[in-house]
Amino acid sequence: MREKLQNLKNEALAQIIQSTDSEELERLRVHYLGKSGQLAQLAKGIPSLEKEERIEIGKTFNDVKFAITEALSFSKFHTAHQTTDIDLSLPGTPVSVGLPHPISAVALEMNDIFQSLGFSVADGPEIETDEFNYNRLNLPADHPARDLQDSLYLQEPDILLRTHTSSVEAHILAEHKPPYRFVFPGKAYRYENVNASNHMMFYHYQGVAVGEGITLANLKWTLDIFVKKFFGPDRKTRFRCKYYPEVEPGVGVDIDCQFCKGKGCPVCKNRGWIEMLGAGMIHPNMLKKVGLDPQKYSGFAWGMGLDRITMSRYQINDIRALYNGDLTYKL
Amino acid sequence: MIVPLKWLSEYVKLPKEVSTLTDKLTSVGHMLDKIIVDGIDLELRGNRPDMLGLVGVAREVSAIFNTPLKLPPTTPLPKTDKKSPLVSVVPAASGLVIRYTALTLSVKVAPSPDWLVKRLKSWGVPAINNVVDITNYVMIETGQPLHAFDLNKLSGKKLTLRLAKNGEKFSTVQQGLVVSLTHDDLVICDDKTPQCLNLIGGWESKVSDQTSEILLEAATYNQANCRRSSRRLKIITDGSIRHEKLQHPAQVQWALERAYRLLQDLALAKSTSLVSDYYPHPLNPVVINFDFHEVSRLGGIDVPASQSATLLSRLGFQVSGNKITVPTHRTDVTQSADLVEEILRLHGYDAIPLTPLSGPTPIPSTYSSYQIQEKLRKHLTSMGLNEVITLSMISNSHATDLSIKLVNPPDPDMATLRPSLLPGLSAYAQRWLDLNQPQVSIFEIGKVFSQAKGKFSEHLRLGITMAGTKITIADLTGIIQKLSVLLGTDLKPQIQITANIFCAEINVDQLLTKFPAFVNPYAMVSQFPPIVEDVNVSYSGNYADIVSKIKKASPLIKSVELIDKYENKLTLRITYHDAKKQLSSQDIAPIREKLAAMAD
Repeated sequence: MREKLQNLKNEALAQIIQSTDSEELERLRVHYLGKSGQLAQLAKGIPSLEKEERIEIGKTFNDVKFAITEALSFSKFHTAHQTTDIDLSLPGTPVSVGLPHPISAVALEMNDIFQSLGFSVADGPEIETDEFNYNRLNLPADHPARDLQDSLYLQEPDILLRTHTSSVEAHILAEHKPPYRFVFPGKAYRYENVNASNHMMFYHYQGVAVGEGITLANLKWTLDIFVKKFFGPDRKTRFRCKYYPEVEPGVGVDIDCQFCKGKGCPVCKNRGWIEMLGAGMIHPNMLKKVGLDPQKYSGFAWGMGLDRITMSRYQINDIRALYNGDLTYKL
Repeated sequence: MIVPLKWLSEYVKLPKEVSTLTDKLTSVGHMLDKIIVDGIDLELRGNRPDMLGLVGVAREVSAIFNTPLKLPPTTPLPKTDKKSPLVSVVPAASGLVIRYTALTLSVKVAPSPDWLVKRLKSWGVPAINNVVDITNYVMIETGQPLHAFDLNKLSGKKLTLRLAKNGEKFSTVQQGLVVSLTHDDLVICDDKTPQCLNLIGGWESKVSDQTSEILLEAATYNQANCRRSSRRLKIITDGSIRHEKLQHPAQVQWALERAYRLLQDLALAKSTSLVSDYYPHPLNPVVINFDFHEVSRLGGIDVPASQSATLLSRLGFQVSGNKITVPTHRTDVTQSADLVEEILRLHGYDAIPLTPLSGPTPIPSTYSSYQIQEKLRKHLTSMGLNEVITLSMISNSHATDLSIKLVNPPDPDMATLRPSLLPGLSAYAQRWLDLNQPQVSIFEIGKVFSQAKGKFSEHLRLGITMAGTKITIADLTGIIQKLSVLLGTDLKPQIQITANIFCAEINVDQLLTKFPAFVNPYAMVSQFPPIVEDVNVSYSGNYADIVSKIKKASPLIKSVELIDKYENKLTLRITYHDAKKQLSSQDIAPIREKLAAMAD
């Protein structure tokens, strides 16, 4: 009996594997598993067996039935998918996919890069005091650089909307003990007449690292890694001396112009380089202000226009489109 | 700063290729703006007033290429008369004048020679007459503004520096430009009226063909006061740009000596007075005690002390051991870090290596106020919502009693800081509906602003807006309920419905204190299958109450789902389950009775 069952199984599996169309598979199903099929015929003999043998043969019977059933369904699945009359290029059922705002998408990409370098993400208030927006950033009253960033006041002269995210740096310096490394994307506001390239609300992406023994060489490494990860491994950086009141020494960082490959074109004003961010070693006056000894501690800071980088990444040529509904999400 | 190269080459030897020059200047901190005819235009650097003179540019070139600097010839001034009656500064104005030096000269006014006219033209200044042209020429050379008055037009032949009276009128040297002054403006007056500002000369005493004797002056003013007057009066001149920066008062004498020389050569000038020099608090040279190790500590590059000293000397610093004396034209250098920049920029930022950050990695400490935003963004986009950003300023028509208004809004109609995200989001949704989008599902995470009792505050909010012909409130509540599950806290949003635009707003600041750090949305399939059955209940009041009542009937009730709703009849699917044993209908019977009693 057992031999008969095994033979039946082998024969059935061989036929199922060789069959190529669903009609033949259905014929095989009826032949082996149907009401009066081969298995049913054999089953008729089971009740007449001795009790112990009956149990054992019953088990084998079930195994065989299971194996044939499985083989059939597996083959059915595959023959169905070999069917050539399905047009897979027809649109499928629509899936709704939500996207982050392009600025959030870029901030997220940047955060990932800097977090892998040991930075954490910080934020801070958008309503600021003169103290944190200016004074603590080495921009005392009457500093000429204040003229360059006309403030939007809530209450003159002390309460304003932050004109840069450097104010977050001022809070970090005041609230954390070195060593620390932070990045901070966020909104900033200035008195601007709104047009395609300027807005009274815009985004900065800034960062700061403070500790002992932090150098310009560390700054160069960090920002060079960022550029290569974010813009591509072949992109080049240029570090040059530049003045910002918040840093000393100060650094301007340029990236090679991808339009002319550094040869000079209208996009880069024939420089071959595009200005990308401002950076430098945190000014000793700022460290002193929070009680850190500038002979012992040092740090670097940098800042860039997050909306500018977002616009060039996603080919958006009007800054207003970031905020007014003139941007469609294409997924 | 426009730099005509032939003119510049009078003070320093230039490299053959212009690009060699501009690349180096850019690298040391004076970025090339553009190449112009026979010259270059450099971007202005905020802290380097010396670079507003061609000699300043020449000094940098000399330091970069290690070539000698040739300063233009000068003539020493006559002696200083401490009791000179020529100039007086009233006490009220003393804070606004750092130095004011003047003398009188007889001159022969005539047109300037061709070379001078051409040079001024190459810099963009029109030629007027030899005296005026020389004051302009010396300003371009040295960065120090000068002014010449027609002495005979000055009533009393002397000057008084005082504060203007409110509403006092002044006729500038630009014909027809008369400005009204305030008590904050400094005026330079003869015995009767203002003849000059620290921004621009006056019409009445300008040097003309008839002038035979001049009063020549150069001065250092309070920079902030100059800047404020310039902004208020809307007068920006080459002189005002230079007076706004801290030119060292020592430059005053040098500029006058240079002008005297040119006036002698080109206008037959002879001094007719001693020098009046108002300079009550002479500035001492800045001396910095410098530890040369600071270069490697801040720069991350080893530059030998001797090389650092050489680089500083090339820039005009006097190095004597660790004592570094700053040259007077470098008012930007006041401390050790400034010297580090000087050494590094001349040595080359390119030479600084790329060195990985070392030392202990700080403990990750991303702010929870930022993490929650990322979490919300991730959950909501995964549910098919698009994130948008709207302006923090909204139309004044949405202002409430508590909303904040900007003092100086760029757009007076949009002077209100948003007290809620919803006006902006609704408008955004409407904009997309107008663009024929059949359905809008958007959210924004951002600050809202309010004030109470004179205190300003800001709060982080989440706004969700759904709109479209097929959208119902259930689409919005569905999102909020799923978000509640994902965050592990029950969200209680403000709901706002207008026409077919459905909005919800959630206070994220409050959320921060509530949501658990960890939510487990996973569970093993149980060994013991549950018992599932549907019951009908009539509905009045609140669905959530009915569900919580049912759940209270027995701990074996694991979930209650709404299957169907018809008028006030609800079909609920109840799932009974026990993790420890297989439930039988006997286990369920008493609960069923309880529920039946409730349904009645």
